[in-house]
Amino acid sequence: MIERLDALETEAARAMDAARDGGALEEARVRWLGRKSELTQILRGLKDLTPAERSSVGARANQLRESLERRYEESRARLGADGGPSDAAASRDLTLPGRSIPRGHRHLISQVLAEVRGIFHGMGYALAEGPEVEDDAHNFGALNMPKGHPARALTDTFYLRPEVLLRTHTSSVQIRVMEQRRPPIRIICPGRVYRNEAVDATHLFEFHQVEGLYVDENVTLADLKGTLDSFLKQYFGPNTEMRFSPSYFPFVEPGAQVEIRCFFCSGKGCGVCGPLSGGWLEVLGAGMVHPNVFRAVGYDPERYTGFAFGAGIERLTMLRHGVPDIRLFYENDIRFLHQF
Amino acid sequence: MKVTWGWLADWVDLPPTPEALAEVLAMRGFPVAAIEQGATLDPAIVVGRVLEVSPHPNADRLRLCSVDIGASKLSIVCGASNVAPGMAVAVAQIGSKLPDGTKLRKSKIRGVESEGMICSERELGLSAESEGIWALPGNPAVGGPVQAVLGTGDAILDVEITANRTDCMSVRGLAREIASSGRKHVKQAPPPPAPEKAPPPRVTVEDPRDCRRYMARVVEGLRIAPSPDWLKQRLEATGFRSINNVVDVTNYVLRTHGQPIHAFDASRVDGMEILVRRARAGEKLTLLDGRDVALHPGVLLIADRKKPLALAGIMGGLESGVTDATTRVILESAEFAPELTRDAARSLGLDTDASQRFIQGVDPVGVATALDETARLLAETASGAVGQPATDLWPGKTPPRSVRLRRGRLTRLLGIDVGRDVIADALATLEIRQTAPWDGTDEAATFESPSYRKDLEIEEDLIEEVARVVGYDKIPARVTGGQVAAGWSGVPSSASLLTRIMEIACGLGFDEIISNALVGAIPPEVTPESGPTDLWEVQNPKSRELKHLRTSLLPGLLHAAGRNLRHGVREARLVEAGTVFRASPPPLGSERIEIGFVLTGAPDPWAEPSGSDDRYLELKGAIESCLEALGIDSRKSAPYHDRCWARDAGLSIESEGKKLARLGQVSLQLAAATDLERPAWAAVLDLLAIAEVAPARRRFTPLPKYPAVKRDLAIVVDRAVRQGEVEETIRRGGGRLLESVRLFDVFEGEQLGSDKKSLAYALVFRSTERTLQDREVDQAVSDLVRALGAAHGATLRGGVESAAGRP
Repeated sequence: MIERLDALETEAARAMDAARDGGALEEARVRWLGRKSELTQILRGLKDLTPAERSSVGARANQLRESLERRYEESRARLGADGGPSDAAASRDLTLPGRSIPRGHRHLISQVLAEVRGIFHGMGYALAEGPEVEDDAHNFGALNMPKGHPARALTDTFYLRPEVLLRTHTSSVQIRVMEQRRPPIRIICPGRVYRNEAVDATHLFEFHQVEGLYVDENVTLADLKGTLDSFLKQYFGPNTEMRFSPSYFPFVEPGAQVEIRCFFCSGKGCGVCGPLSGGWLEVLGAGMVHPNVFRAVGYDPERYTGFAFGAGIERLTMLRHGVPDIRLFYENDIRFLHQF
Repeated sequence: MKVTWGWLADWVDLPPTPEALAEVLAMRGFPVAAIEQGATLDPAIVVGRVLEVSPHPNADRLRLCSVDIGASKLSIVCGASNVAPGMAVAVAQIGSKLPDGTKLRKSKIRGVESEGMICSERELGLSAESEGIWALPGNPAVGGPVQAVLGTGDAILDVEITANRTDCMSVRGLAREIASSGRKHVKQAPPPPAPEKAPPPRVTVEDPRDCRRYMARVVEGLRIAPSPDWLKQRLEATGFRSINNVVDVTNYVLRTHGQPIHAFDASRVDGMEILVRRARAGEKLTLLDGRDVALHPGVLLIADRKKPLALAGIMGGLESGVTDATTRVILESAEFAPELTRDAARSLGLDTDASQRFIQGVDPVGVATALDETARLLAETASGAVGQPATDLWPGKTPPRSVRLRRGRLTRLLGIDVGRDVIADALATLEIRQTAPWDGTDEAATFESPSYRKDLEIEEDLIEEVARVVGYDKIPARVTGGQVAAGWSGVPSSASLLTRIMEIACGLGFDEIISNALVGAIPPEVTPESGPTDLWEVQNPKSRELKHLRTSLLPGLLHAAGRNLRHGVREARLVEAGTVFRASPPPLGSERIEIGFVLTGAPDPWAEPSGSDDRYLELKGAIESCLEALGIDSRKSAPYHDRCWARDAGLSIESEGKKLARLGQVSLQLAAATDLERPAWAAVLDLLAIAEVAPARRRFTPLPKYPAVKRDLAIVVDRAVRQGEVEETIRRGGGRLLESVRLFDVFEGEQLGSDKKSLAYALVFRSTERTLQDREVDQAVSDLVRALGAAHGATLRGGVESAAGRP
């Protein structure tokens, strides 16, 4: 029995010294000192021994237990307070790549849409949505483009039936909202629009727009300018330089075009703004809501004034992120999607 | 519209540089898309003629050229492949300076000295890109400066004109804006030379509504010849081909004044008499371009007593057109009715410069100016003798339009306070005259627009004019605080729900795609049950590829997945949210927002070492996760079949009687129809249904106070028994104390028998009121076993284990 205890001591000490981490040490403790360990069994069996044996074996066994417990504590200290490995690199390769957990990417257009929504939400604009299949009245008629209006010829419209079409702008949503609510109204209407245009690097037959509308009793062109300046600075950066100049859209009067100074070349001329264009990039169309639009929705144009604006989301995205070709957004190449 | 600097300078004093001019125009609403600077090349860049081309001794791609530059012969190394003997080229001599600023130095290229450079158009700054060297056109004088080949070097501005300002589709129109901006005046045209004796034709206008003004005048003694260089250059610089002096002058007047001028060969006009009348049914006319057109009473004609001569305002006839033999012309300057011109041109399938101008509407006063100017230029360029003053019929003369403008309204719209005098002065620069003094009460005045400004109809139009003159840059930028209308949440709940779903989907590893709503053929698998009449079809499609509105997101997703796999991506995990369409009910049909998922390809072996070929459970797990993240119980499902799914491989997840999701393995036919040649698993979520069942707000549930008791239960059932039904039985039969049920193993093996399977569940029991006792739980479990036996013929496999025994 004493010999057996001696052997146990050697084996157990070796095991504890060899433990390279907390787990291995704990295993050794259970194996050599645990409830089911041989040593514990021997201690438990003492009562069945003769008194002589009991005294000698008992003394040796208890001494062994103390020494192993000491050994255990030493090993624990060696492995560090948390029982973790001190030289784990030797036992496992920490440079192996982590198990990759698939991470999906929001489409860049969705990211920009969300950001634009957030910016306008912060300025008190509600979100409004409307159908993509529209009738002539909401897409054109109520927007001061009665039948035969020359501006209709500017927009190549996809027709589904004689009076039913795919909306060419989200301005139709503004009409739908104004038909249902009284001012004050502050909305943005993001969404997909359709134009029967030839496809090239900057034109698609389907794209996204965001339009905004603010109607109240004293809304002015100055409010429009300030709102758009604030939007552009939030979206493109605080140093964005804006140019606000006259333009024409049938549903606004006065009308405005909004450009920003090309931030790629600071206006010296480059591949983005065109080598000869003087460095201004067109980003928004806007203006004061035309009185005929108010009349079409039953608002009194003498009482209410308002502004409306619109921008192409793809264009805003291409400019800020340097995407050279609008078609990339709809090709859905994962190598493209994963860049953003 | 393209216009040259010199051409504008004829009519108005210009700002110092083309760039400054572009800024002025842009701030008036006429952005300049491009400025082509007239090149001013170093005179040391000269015309050379290539005499000989031989290979470069040390480089395959290079050639050694011997070039004659008049005074000497140079040996030049050239890299362009198009260089050939006999070619006239631009030679930059040593010491000359290229437009980009580089000064040419003597140099050795691959060991051979080059005594100059043969230039490309790009190197000369003439175009953004060019291939090879520039072969000079014509037969330029060898040794002379290349600048002579280029002409005067007049800068060309490409100005964008908005649809409402067709009066600016001319040099004079733009000059008026520039003059207004500089508070100057447009220069007057020089008077035409003193008339000689040739009388004007007799003119009869049948209906003044068709032709509001008609003027005609004769110029005789013409000599048809090529135009002088200045005329040629201006037309060519702005995109028009030079033909001969008479045709060029009429085109030049059109560009300068915006007024189409037609010249008839007077010898072909019977009796020097012109009728402006409607065509009669059955009449025919051969047009200038050789086409024969059959006429109808919707077309206005210029005719003589015997025959039609021209389509009024659209195109001349061949027979009465100017030829090389023409010596006497009748010049026509007129204002034809816009609608009539539009309808006639459309009915004949014609669209000409002239018809566009008449459709937009020409300036009735400018009709006379343009005619005088044509006569003057014909005298100058074709040695014509101008006949007696024109015949002038102006039956459609209308008084100028008056518009009232209130100062208060202007302030309310623009947000700036503009004084009365400032308003009147601003409008005066645009020849908009105040006709009545400001009246006291509402500070209003009446203004009269010039004849060419057909766009000024209402008060707001005048307000814009004031703003343009004052300058949009002078409008302050202001941000008003303000509230969304009361009772308005700001973002519709379905929109925020959609955002959440897409964010969850991305968190689950799906990449969002956006595909087109306009698609080609709709595969039968996604054709609505109501049939093809429920499809929206575009009446004027771009192409067959884009004819229908999609009815499902699946084809687009599968197509994108297939494309990506073909690009070599291992797996595609895609999600898309978008509108799908049905043509019923009328008039606008119906639109629904779906969220589609597709999973195909093989997982990354490092991330998923035990990845399975069948990825159904993976996809289902994602959908369950997504629904659970929204607080929706996704456990209730039923077999689902439509043609999108492989046989017996479709499932629907339902809640509160609504189908929230359909998912399964995509049918081979649908995959094939979308060019995906791999097994794919997909799901379609219905946003509206989800919005109806998703809890708007979660409520707090107290955390458990008492310990749980866990039991593992393994049962054996027939293979055909569905797990979902077994689980449902457990849920229902487990009583109040059963907190959760989770399947953790499905086992099939010989020891069970070939038609059997074992299902193992982890059960958790808990009371909210006290610590459970083992015997209560044992009782509940044995009740469950009995219920399972009764419902599914289940037997217990190997007893119930206390969950502690399971790792």
